[in-house]
Amino acid sequence: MNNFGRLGSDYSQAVLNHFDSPLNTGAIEGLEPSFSRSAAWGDELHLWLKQNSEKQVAELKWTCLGAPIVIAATSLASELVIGWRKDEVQTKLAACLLEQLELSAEQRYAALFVADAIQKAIN
Amino acid sequence: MERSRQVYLDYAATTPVDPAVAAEMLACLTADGNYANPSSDHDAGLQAAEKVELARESVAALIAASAKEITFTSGATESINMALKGAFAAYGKGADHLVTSKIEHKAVLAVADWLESTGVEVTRLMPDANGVISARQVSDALRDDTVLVSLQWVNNELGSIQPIAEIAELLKNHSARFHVDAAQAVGKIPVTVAGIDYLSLSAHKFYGPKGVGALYCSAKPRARITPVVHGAGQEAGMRSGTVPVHQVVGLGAAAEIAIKRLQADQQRIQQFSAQLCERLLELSGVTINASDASRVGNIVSASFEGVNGKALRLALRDLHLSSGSACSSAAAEPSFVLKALGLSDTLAEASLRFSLGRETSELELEYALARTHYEVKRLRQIAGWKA
Repeated sequence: MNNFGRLGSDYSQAVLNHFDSPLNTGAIEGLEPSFSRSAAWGDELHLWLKQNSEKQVAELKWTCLGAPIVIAATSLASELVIGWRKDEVQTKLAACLLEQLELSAEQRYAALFVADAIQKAIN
Repeated sequence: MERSRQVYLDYAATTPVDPAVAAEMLACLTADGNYANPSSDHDAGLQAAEKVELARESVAALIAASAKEITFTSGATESINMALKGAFAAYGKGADHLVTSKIEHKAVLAVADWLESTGVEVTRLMPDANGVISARQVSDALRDDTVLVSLQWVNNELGSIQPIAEIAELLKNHSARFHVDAAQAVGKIPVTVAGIDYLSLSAHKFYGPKGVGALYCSAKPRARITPVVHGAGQEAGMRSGTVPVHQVVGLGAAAEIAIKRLQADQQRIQQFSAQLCERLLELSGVTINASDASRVGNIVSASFEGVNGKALRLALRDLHLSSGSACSSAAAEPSFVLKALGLSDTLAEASLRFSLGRETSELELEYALARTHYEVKRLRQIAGWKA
């Protein structure tokens, strides 16, 4: 696999895949987005989140003006959290993102930031 | 649009060695070539010395100097160190003054910082919004104790050309010496040393090898330096160390080719550059930095609104170019040059330097533009950004 130099090899294949083909981007019409900004690097994330009657996440759409790892983490999270309740997001999401995206210590903030933002978006 | 190839657009960082240059260098390395020490007094040494002197003449011809004014060094960084430290050692009287700018190459800025730590006062001029330092600014900064003015001919990030001839003219009436870092100018635009006391250049910026450069020191009026590297007194005592014949011959050969090709290269690259700017500006929210300055054609700096700098750079990882972050830094800092123009950190980070060269083809340029358009639009869609 050609990662196109050091730029590519700073990231895991999972990050590159989500960054190159992110899932569930865009907005949900008629819904106000929840907005978060990362203190570390100023990444800006808008989340549109729908829950079903059992308070589980039914749909998550997003836009992000941010670093590749934040884009990748949001993309993966938008699939993972479907069917999850707020407490599950709180306890499991950051760890899942860290593991599945193989984030380095320096990239860890992205998993924490995205998990926090999604918690904030859930009623 | 998939990544289907890799395109080198970082010629301002370094250029490939011209095959004709490499061939001449190779002839100075092996037993059947001019490998001898040019300081030796036997035939082989004399032959090597002859090659070195021919190269000196070629370098001199490239900048309209005479051969005796050229000292070979390991590159522009060493030349700059020699000129700045050497001039202060030769002419300084203690608490002296240096005039330079905020957008110099790190090689100058770091030496200025060091000189400051030894007691030299440093004035760092701010460029205008187009990355240009005016002769007026230099004139206003001059003091009776100004020993040296050091400015670059062409800015390495923006391509903006400084009014060197005008500044040289005004310095004729002042005792301060004038050093010009011409690393990005030589081989790109006509360079002459008229009115300049010291000039630094590097071979690898114009299709010569890395690890060799030159320092010009004017003979008339004589611009002295106190040597920085002491030893066996090679290069007329200006820079000791065995002269690397193959490197020096490579620099000379690159200079000869540059003289022959300058006009044709300039014309072709200027056309590419115009095409590049025009097509980049078809995207909304794009600024060509220093666009109102007189610029070299081979450097185009563009800033992109509505995208994150790191994301843009990763998305365009098939294009070998420099971003708006300091290249040497792992914890990327926004470019101090772009910030000096007044760009925000965010916009400075979301900037790319496209630098073109002799090998750049129409096809490569087309690919780079198509990929840039595609990725900027894609990232803006992800960001939900609207102009």
